[in-house]
Formats: sequence, C-alpha cells, structure tokens
Amino acid sequence: MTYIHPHIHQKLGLGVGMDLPWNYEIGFQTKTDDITDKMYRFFQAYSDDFNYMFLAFQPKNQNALSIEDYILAYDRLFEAASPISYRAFHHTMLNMGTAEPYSKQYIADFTNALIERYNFQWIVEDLGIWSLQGKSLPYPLPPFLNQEGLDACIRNVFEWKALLNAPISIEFPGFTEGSNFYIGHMHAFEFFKTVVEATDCLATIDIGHILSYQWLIGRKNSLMYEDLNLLPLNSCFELHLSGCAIQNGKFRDMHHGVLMDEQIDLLSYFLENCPNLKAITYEDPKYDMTGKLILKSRHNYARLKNSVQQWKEKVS
Amino acid sequence: MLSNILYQLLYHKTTRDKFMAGDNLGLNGEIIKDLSVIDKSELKAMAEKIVKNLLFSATGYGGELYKCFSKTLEMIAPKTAQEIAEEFLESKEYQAYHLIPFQGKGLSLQEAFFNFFSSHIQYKDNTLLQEYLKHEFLCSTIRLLAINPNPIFRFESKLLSFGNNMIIGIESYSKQFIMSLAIKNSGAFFLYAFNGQQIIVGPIPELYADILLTNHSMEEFQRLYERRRVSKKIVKNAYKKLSDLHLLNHKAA
Repeated sequence: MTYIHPHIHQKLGLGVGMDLPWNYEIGFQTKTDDITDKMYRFFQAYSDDFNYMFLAFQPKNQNALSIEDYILAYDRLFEAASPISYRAFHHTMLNMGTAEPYSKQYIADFTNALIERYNFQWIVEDLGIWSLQGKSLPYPLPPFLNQEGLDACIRNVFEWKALLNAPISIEFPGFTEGSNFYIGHMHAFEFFKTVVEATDCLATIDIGHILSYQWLIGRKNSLMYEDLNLLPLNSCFELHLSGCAIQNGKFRDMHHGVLMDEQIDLLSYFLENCPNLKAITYEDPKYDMTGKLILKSRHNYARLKNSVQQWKEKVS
Repeated sequence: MLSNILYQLLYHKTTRDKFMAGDNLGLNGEIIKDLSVIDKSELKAMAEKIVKNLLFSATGYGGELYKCFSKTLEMIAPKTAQEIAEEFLESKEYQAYHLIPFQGKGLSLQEAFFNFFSSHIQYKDNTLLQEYLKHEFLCSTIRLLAINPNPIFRFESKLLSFGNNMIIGIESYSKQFIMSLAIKNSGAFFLYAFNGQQIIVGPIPELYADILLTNHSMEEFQRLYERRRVSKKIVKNAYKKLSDLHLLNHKAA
C-alpha cells in the first residue's frame, strides 16, 4: 500500500533542513533566545531558494519538555525565514528503532503543541536507536535488522502515528562508518520497506544514508544503483542530501554542506523513480559570516538546485 | 534481550572486552549470529565516544564530569579519569541516571556520579577527596537546579532542602579542605543556595549556619548568642544580611 501526504499534493521542490543546537554558530542562543546573526544573513541570502524548511530538535536544557522554553527562539527563526512557506520538524526523540518498551505520551504532548503552533506539515526522524535505557547515544544506530527489530519498529511507528497530529515520514537510517555499526542479517532496504508499508507511512530517503549502506556492503561506484528497487520508492515523500565525504577509505556522513558527485548522480535516480516524491531537502548547509554558502559547497548545491527545478517543472 | 546486550556492549567495558576477544557471552546461536556482523572497530569507537562524551560532553547541558568534578578527578591518581568513567558506566549508580525519561525519571548525572564515587571502595575513606566530591556535587547541582526549575530528572539527595522557591544546603568541612580552597576569613561552614534569582555559594560563619538551619526567632538567637558573648547587634546584622539575600524565606516553608 502507498501512503500519500493528506494535504501536500503539489511538488514542494527544494527545502532546507537545519540541525540547530544551542549556543553554536549555527543554532539558537540561550542568552538571547534567538538565532545567530550569521543565520539571519543566510536567510536573507537564500530564503528564496527554498519552499519549505525543517529544524532538527535539540533540547535546550534539562527541564521537562515544555514549548514555553522554545517558542521565543522558534518564533524568531520562522520570522527570519518567513518567505519560506512550509514547515516540518525533524524529531530526535521518537526513538522509533528501539526494541525497548518506552513511554511516548510525554514526547507526543510536546510535539503536538509544536505542530499546532508552527503548523508543521510532517514529522521526520531516522528509523534508529537514538537512546538506550534513557541514555542518549552519540549517534543513532540502525534498528536490529532481525525479526525482533522489525516487530519493534512497526509497533513503535504505529504508536507514534496514533499519538502525533501530523503525518510521520520515516527516514532510512545511516550506516555511516566511523559513527555506527549494525546488528542482524536482514537487508536494510527490505527492512525499511517492510516498516513503511506495514505502517502505511511516508518515507524519507537520505541519499547519503543509502550510499553509506551500499558502501558498507561493498557496493561502490556503478554498483551503488543495485537493489534500490527494494526501497519503498512509491511511498517516498522526501529526499535528504547532506554533506558527505570519503575519508581514509570510509564513507562519512559529515553534514558539512559539501555534497558528493555520487549524491547528485543518485538524486537523478530517485527523482525519476519516486512517483509520490514532493520534497528534496538540502540538509545542514554551511555558510560563512556573511551568510554565503562556503565555497566548496557551491558547485554541487547549484547542481542540486538545478536538478530539483527541472524535476519540479516536469509534468508528471 | 538484544537491547540489553547492546547496552552492555556499549557501556560495560568488561562485557565489551570479552566480546572483542571472541567470548560468546553465554548467548545462544541466533543472537550470536545477529551479533556476528558487528564491526568491532566501530563498536570500540562508539564506546570510546561514550566515555569521551561522559567526561567532556558537547551537549551543552552542563552534565559533563570534567566540568562538574574537575578537582575530584584531579585527585584520583593512580587511576585515570577514563578508568573512573569506565567504572562509573558499569555501575548501578550510572544505571539510575536517565537523560531522557522514557522509562521514568532518573537521577541527574551529577547525583549518579556523586553516589558512585562517595561509595567507591578505593576513595570512600579519603576525607579530603570526599569533601571535594561533595562540594563539587553541590556547586554543580545548585547550578543545574537553578536553570532547570522543572527538571527532567528526580533529585534524591538529602544534602539540599527545598522550600518557598528556594534551594539551600549547608555543609561543614575540615580545615584542610577550607584552606585548600584559599578562601580568606572563612568559617567551617559552606552555603549552597539558590534564592529563585541568584546562586549563592561560599563560606559562612557558624552563626549564619545556625540561623539557616534552625527555626528560632531572632530574639531567641540573640539570647542564645549572648551567652557566647556575641552581641545582639551582630545577630541582628546576620539576620538582615540573610534577609537581604532572601535566604530566610525557606524557613517559613
């Protein structure tokens, strides 16, 4: 079965996704409850490029989650990015890949309050193990690629679907060397497709995450296209592209703004083969103090923008 | 089951070392098969990252051990901070720490570490070290509670009391400890307080500690301290100073 976004029927085209930790150059400031000057300049320079944006959630403090702690900073962010029409929310606390039982209502109440205030059109999170026994992992791990992991993911996604007041898009998890490993023998693409289809959810395909898995199982260069048909292409609503690199022979999901040629090449495949695709996110752009994209990222950003524009203009 | 094994592989060095050396950890065939695909170098790298984050976290939450317990960790030789962190991660006290209340509220990292270290077999009888531990625990916890008035963690320690929007703790320390802090004109008592707006930490005279710890009126104190040849005016001034700092509010609670 293919699930289609209930409200977004048109192609949104290019969007921007931003991880916004507190007290970093790109992020919120606890002292001012505002974004940085550098971010204001970025939005002045690039808002017109994007038709939607999401921010990735980062807790501000160790208070019980309450939107009162966040609204001042979030209001200012969305005011600075006001030309961007649509908004989504990249969660980091759904923990949909865990096999541990856990209480979800508390996170759901907080998220629903944000959805109501900011009109988030969808909630996205990597299908991963983000925490264990209440301790946050340095990087999310893929779910257990076995029956136990599959059952747990399906159970978790169903529960979140019932709890959240916006559609969930499940993101294919990262298999990035240098930051995580996996457990179990199921093919990750098939595993992901089973979860998406069993739960009737939207899917987000992060092209770097796809490359990281292919790289890990030895499918490099022209082999990177193999088995992509095992992914839930019909349910794919969104693509993510964030800066990646090969370092010391290992594939790294760097989020440093510089897209690899392979990501742009693979983008063409997904633009062609995902009939319900609506959104393509440039994730975590990096820019200088003037707000301009760093030099190294400009070439492939321009290619991304161009590919998405051509796709958007193409009549289905 | 597998979640618990993964937890132990990441957080328990003893279990991880056995696994890295080829031990099957007493597990059955199917689980062993699932675990066989683990890239051991990646497992090791992630476990090292967990230790590094515990000591020098970049989360900005202020929970990292070096920031909160720097002096304590300076005094643990011949052990290293990494060794202590690894022991802590394996302890039942660390188990009680939850950053995210998915399985209910846990203790703060500060309180979990304090509980772990104050009962550590190798250090529990080292008075000076334990005094630093307590001092650093209280300093960091007052800060933590001041900026998180509705905390995501529970607080169990009896070293601080709460009332009327105030947090207060008073400890007495050895002369050696007080002198090591290089604070002039200090008494043997140390105050840790948050009055709702301001954190107040520092040495206080015994009279001030008495006023804060008991429920006598000023007049009663003036009578009591008169017997110790302390004038009524000094007691009155002490009351005024504590009142100006809004530290007497908790007594009404």
